[in-house]
Amino acid sequence: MFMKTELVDISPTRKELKIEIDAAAISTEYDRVSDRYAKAANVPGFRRGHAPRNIVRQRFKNEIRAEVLQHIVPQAISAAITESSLAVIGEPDVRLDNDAALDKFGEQPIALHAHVEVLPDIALGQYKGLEAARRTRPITEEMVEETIRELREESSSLQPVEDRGAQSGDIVTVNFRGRFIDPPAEEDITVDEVDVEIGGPGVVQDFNDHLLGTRPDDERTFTVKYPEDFSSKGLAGKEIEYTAVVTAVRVKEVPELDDEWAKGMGEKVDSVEGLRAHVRQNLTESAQRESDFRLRNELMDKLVAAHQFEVPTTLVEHQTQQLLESTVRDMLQRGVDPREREVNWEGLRDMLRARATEDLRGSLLLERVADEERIEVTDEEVAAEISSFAEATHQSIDQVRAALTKQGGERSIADRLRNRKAFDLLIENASVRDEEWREEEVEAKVDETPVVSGTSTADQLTAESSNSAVAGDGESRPNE
Amino acid sequence: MRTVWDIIKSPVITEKALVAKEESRDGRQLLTFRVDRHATKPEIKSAVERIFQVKVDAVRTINYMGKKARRGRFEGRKPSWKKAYVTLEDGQEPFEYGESI
Repeated sequence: MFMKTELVDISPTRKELKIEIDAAAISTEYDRVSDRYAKAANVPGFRRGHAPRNIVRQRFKNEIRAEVLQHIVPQAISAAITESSLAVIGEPDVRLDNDAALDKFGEQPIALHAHVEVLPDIALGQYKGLEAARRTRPITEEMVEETIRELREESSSLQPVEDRGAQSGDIVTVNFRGRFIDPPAEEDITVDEVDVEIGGPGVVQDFNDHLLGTRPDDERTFTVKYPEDFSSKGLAGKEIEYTAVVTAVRVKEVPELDDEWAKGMGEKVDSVEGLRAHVRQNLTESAQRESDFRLRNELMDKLVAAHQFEVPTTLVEHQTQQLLESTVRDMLQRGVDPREREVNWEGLRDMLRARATEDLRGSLLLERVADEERIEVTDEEVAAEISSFAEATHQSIDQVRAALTKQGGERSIADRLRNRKAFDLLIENASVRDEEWREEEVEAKVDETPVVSGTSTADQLTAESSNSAVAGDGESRPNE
Repeated sequence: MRTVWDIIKSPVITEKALVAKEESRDGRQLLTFRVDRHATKPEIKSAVERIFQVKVDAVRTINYMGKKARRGRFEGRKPSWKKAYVTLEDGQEPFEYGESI
């Protein structure tokens, strides 16, 4: 071999490779590169390609040197990595040790050291027979009725009211003109086609009082004094005179609970009883999923807690970045521009980093378990996963495959399947006991689980904005 | 004050000069320099000996007329210069111009 290597442990995930490349290896490479340069070099006083090697070297010293290093250093490092049989993640961080060797290039050995990150050796402790409790939310008659009531509410329709004035619960559509009285302002407020539910949640009482009993084309003028702590900052504490022109008064008609309506709710439903059964089944299934999810989380937490080990920084940073990006995407999707909001990026990043570390712990552990149990993923399983993904996203299998190959994703699917199988094995071998459903504990727990806390971050970030969006002018709900 | 560096300006490193250096007929090394236009052969000889610490056998010189140059309607010349072929004595160390000049 053309070099000497030495491996130094810094920590379980960081290793240092000390490498010394022989002078002979360097000078061979140096000659090769110089000759290539000499062939094409334009040097004054010489025809192209006729300048001798030493003159070309003098003239293109830095270029040639850089090229030699670029070629020989990565070669040396990868050889060193193979030699020491490390599973390296990320890019090695390389430093040259003796600058003197650069001046007498090709005559002296070059010493360098590289910091690389490796996956830690995980001493697998107990992973079978982990204890966890399965708690399934019981489905009560009330819950079924509640869901059905919501369904009716959703399929309710608005009917115009002709024969009477607006009553509590009616939807009044109004064109507003608002003039600031205290403090006065130049700009008036003009909002058209606002739907106000009289007596509805979040509606300022003044509006209720003044719009009660109105009919279409009625005009009312009244002043509203907003409280100091009103949710929309532009209006809080101000007094405004509104002129309201009513364009429509409509009443919400909730359909009767009968077989006729029930039939419309689903293809397999033909009666109210059928709908009840259907709803109950749905609720049971989702409770099942919920308890399953929680069981998995609990097992995962236990597994992670039982194995403390260092997670490579590169991976953590990468994962953190991804989480951060998805959080931002999430915000954008809700119509929140993170640039316009004051986001505590540092805090958010720290929080996500902690979460990323836990996630990685989990998946590294699962990988380790898969190794231990010799879990393999067959090509057929990958194919099955791809086709189910294709179905879910309405793409052809070939499209999905093409997209995956571009991202090098077929491997990652295999990895994911492998982890999933490891997880299944974990669950099969866990000692799960069924326990009573406990509401309050669940609430506390949900807050802690990493998956949910991510969304709650976004919630915190966007909470203010959604408030002001809904109650934009303080008096109404958004148009429906 | 005139120093040796004013006499010897730079080595001439061209294909032709290198061929002359490597393949001179009698085995003696032949160096080429751009020198001051008014420098004499003895001056060149002593300057080369002092700068490069070598023994010089003979100096031959040639004057080059500056090339005609034209900027639009103005015609002129690049400066004229003198080239010196310096033959070293037998048995000298192989000479490298190095980066000294």
